Amino acid sequence: MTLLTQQVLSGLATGLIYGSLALALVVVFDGTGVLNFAQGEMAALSAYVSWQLVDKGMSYWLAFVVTIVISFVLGVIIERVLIRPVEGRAEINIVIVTLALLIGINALMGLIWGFIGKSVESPFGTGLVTIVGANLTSQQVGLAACTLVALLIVGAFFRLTPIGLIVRAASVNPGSARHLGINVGRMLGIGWGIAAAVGAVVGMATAQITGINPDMMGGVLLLAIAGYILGGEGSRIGAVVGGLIIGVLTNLGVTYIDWLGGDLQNLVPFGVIILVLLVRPQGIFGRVSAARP
Amino acid sequence: MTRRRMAIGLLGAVAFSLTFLLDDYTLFQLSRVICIGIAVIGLNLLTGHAGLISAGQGAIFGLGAYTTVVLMYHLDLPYPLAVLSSTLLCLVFGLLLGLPALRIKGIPLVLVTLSLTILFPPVVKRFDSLTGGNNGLGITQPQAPFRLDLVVPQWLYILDLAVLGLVLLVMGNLLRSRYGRALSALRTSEPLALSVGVAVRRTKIVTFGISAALAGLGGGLYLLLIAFATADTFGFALSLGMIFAVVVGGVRSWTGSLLGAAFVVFVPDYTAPLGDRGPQLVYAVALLLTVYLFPTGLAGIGQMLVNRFRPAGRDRSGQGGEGGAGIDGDPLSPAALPGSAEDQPAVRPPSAVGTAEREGVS
Repeated sequence: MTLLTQQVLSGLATGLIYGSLALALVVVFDGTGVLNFAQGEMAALSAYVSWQLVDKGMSYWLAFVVTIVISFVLGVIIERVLIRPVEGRAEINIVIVTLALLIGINALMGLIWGFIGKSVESPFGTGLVTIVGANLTSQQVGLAACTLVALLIVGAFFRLTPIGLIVRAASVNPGSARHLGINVGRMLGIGWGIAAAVGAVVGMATAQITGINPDMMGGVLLLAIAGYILGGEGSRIGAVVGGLIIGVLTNLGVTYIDWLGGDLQNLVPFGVIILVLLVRPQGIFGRVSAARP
Repeated sequence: MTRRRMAIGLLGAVAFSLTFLLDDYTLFQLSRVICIGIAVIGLNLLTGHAGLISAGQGAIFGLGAYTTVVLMYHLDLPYPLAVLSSTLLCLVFGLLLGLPALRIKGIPLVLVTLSLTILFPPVVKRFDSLTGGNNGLGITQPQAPFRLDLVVPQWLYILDLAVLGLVLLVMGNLLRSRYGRALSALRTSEPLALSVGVAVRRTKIVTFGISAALAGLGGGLYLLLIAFATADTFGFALSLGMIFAVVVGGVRSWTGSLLGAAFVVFVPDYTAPLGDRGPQLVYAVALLLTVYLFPTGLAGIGQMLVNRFRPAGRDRSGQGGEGGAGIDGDPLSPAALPGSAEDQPAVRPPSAVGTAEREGVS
């Protein structure tokens, strides 16, 4: 029983990370109708930026904030320069652009920082925290708290601020929003920026668990995509819940099904993706009328 | 048309004579281009002609290669039979894969086929008694038959070239057949195709089957070439490379598919100064250039050059069909359809399509 609670809790802790990246995917998809395959690599790039800043002598938390700002700007620039020109063209164009970004950023990171992993000192220490009989590392708890705060801030931004409302309007109905004088393009750019900023938090959190290397986000992106599909296309809450479920499922699968050890643990997220797409394509929270106008 | 035939014959003769002019390594590389090219042609049929994006062609290619090596290693099957069996197995696999693809397309289809690609290497490694697991599995390469005085790379090059010729012939005829017309109607507009009595479901499934069969054929031949199968050869990078080959080469152009395959095979030879991931960097730049500046790909650039130097007044009659298609020509593009982008729903309500289809197909 303690093994179960242990696995569920640590699954939830990592699930928050997947959920956050899934949220970034949703924000981008909502605005531009793109599944950004490069979201993971952008997060890894953010992790490298924060490492570079700390390496230059900045304190961890200052670097944390600066990295989020830089990532936001980078997201806006990518939307403006690379995505805007192919908007409204065939779907394969956007898929190809994000795939090109995926391998391009990956190769660039390898070229600049090399392929040897960089370790990050955790600001949360190395203690143990006991919650309902299960032992979690203080690092796990700290990271979960960090991502949770990021999620709440993003949620509050979309729900409670005027500009959040405008961004939502621009993505739900670009046509009408334009008639109301909203600069839809700029709002989509802000969406990409927010996604990149959330991705930065994910990247820096993952960096503490696995260290930093160019391929660090590949697996996380897969799990986030699974969470995103499970939660339902276009649902922000769904993405987070989906990510949490995926985190728990993956943990339990690896613990209780011996056959799934090693590389085959990817079977869990992909099993979920295939099952959801075939049985209930709109996911848990998705609306059936998810057609984009 | 006769001029076209002469040109093709001449090209074939030149390609054949290369057997005796080039060194073994270059022949090996050219054979790789052909094998991967055959799979890329299959993917081009699926993506370019049917508008279905698949990220799983590399995995099916791997399935073909592994079937061939397993049949030859464990059952001592002669290689032509092994390659043929791989092709048939992949055909069946493709038909099965086509079933879920009736319900989903676009990005969800990319994800499902992507799962195939990512899961292929670990699954192969898991069945190690059959596949050799991490150690891989090898065969002895086939010698030239009839005591022909050819070394192995020469013989395999001739074999691959012959198969490629056959594939191109079959594909050309296929596209001019009833099936090809149905496919072209389907690409223009699915409701239109339904309304003129095209069996949309069957056409899509058959397309998946043919595409997978070509991947299996290419994979089987590739295995003869490399003589040794390891699971990681057929990973994410290969599937991605094949998508790139379609896009960079030119959507809906067989010549483009081969050019794209050549691009994927030869680029790694020249990117050493850019480090381990040099090829990736070049792919990324080439892809972005293709999307933004040359949507018709390498084949389209070639066509442009040909047109520029063609004497005025001798414009090629007929449609030709090679080269000028472009990425935007596919049915997912609002721009390709009549009416403004705002008028076209990107996703049709599935229910409407379903009922129409039930009425359209007896």
